[in-house]
Amino acid sequence: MSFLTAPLQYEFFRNALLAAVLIGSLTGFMATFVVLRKMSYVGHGLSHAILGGGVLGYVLGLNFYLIAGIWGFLAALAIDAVARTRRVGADAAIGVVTTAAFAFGVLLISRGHSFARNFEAALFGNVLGVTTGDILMIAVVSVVVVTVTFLAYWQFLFVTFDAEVASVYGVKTGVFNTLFSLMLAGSILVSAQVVGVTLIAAALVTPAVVARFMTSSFRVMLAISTLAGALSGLLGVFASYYVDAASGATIVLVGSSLFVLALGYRYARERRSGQRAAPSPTELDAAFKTE
Amino acid sequence: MSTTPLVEFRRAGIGYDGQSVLHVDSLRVNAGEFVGVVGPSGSGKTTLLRGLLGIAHVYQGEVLVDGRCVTPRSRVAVGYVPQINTIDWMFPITVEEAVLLGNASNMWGPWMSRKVTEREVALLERLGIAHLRHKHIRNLSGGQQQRVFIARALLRNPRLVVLDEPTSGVDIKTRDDILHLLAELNNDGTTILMATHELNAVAAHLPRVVCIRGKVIADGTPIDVFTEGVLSETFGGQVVVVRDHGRVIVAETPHGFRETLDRHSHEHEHQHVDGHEHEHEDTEPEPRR
Repeated sequence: MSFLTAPLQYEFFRNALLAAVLIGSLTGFMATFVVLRKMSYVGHGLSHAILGGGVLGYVLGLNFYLIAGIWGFLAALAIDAVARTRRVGADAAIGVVTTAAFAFGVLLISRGHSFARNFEAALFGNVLGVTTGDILMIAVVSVVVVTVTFLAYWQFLFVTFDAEVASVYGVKTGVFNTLFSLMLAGSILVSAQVVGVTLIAAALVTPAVVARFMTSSFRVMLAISTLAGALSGLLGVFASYYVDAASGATIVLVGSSLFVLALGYRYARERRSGQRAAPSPTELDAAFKTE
Repeated sequence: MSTTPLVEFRRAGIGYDGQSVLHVDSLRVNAGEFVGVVGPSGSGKTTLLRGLLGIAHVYQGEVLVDGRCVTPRSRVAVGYVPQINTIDWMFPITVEEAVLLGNASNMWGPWMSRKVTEREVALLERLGIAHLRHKHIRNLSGGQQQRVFIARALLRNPRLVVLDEPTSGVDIKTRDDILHLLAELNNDGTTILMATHELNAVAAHLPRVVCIRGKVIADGTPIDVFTEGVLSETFGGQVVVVRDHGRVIVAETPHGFRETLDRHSHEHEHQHVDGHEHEHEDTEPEPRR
């Protein structure tokens, strides 16, 4: 047991653990929507855009969270606007918008401002450097995200399932897409410190994929994805402490291990129930139409 | 019945990306009607429905539902059943959740009111799928899947239900069941507007049909509208219409059928000219017109 309790005597470890579990839960929660909206690359792209905004804030001597948050939110809105033109998919919109926002940050760095150490922490995560203020920020964003989603549960579900039909049924899809962009940018902003911008994409995808292998219910998927994210954070921080490796990497690798376990569970369940469920007539129809 | 039509298209140009693909000079659907919209692929059937739902743009004229002009920002409450091949079947959602989405804009919090749940259960029972409430939508037959989305459309008890190809990809029995169900709903007072490819189903079940191909080609009862002339103009090819004891049957034309008919007809005329008549057992009889 001392293996588990020994690191807890250090305040920095307790902070790191709390931050990682909160971040894991938050990104796991958001991951359900990200994956079901087929926006798996948005975490990767937006985190880079936020990094660009963070650099801008640093150069201007303004609050990191404020500038990076606004930058990320604007990028998320731009992705949504480009994707809604239906001329290109969300993946292309993410590619164009977020690389531009990131490139702006790189431009500022290349203009001679030296902050290599902060830059490395932002890229790969530094959970051991988390302060009480950071934890408070993560907690506030988590509470806001969960409360908004809780209140507008059916609207978010409908917009995620079929935004066009949702609009016919009176759901204000524009409002809920904007809210989602805001919540996503906020989640990535507070997660960047812990997981690092290069690894945040995994934190915003893997828990939901794990959950999808375990269930066919949206509610249950939301719960499992949140738990899988929290577990990745918890075990990842312990692994980071004992292996002496970057926290972002260990958190993501724990998530990847959960993915392998979930895949094995799914495979075993399908074998136990005989054959894989036969495709429905509509799926067959769709498959033939695609061909 | 109200004198104001429930749906009205007035010189409407409807389309996407700044271009109208469908022009409807005048089309009125009164409350309580059951109307089928037929036409070939790309003729504008779905665009017509999307125009009145506020999804497609109305570039000229106007589309009114219940006297109110439809715009993307000002939509009216209708029940909508989209094409089944637009559904994401991998999405983790149960029958119950899919139906309750019909009331999503009025619900706050992840719970649902008892009144809405009772209505949902009553609808599923009426449609014969109450026992599938907790099943994933993918694990249903094509007919059951259609019923799920019809139930969603009916959840708020709308005056108008719009269906886009509700019988595509289902067998003849399921198709018949769905159309009987829609006829029942119509008898209860719900106005139904439905786009379909199924000409014979329209002829057998619907009192009114609108043929479109970029514009309205014909509008009336299937008996009046389903003529070879109208259907040829609508579908851009030869169509065989058989009329039998007050029923209209639109037949497919196999390769060579028309040529055989023409040859038979030509030979027949030739024999009359020669003054000889023979029986031809190997040629198909010309359908009664």
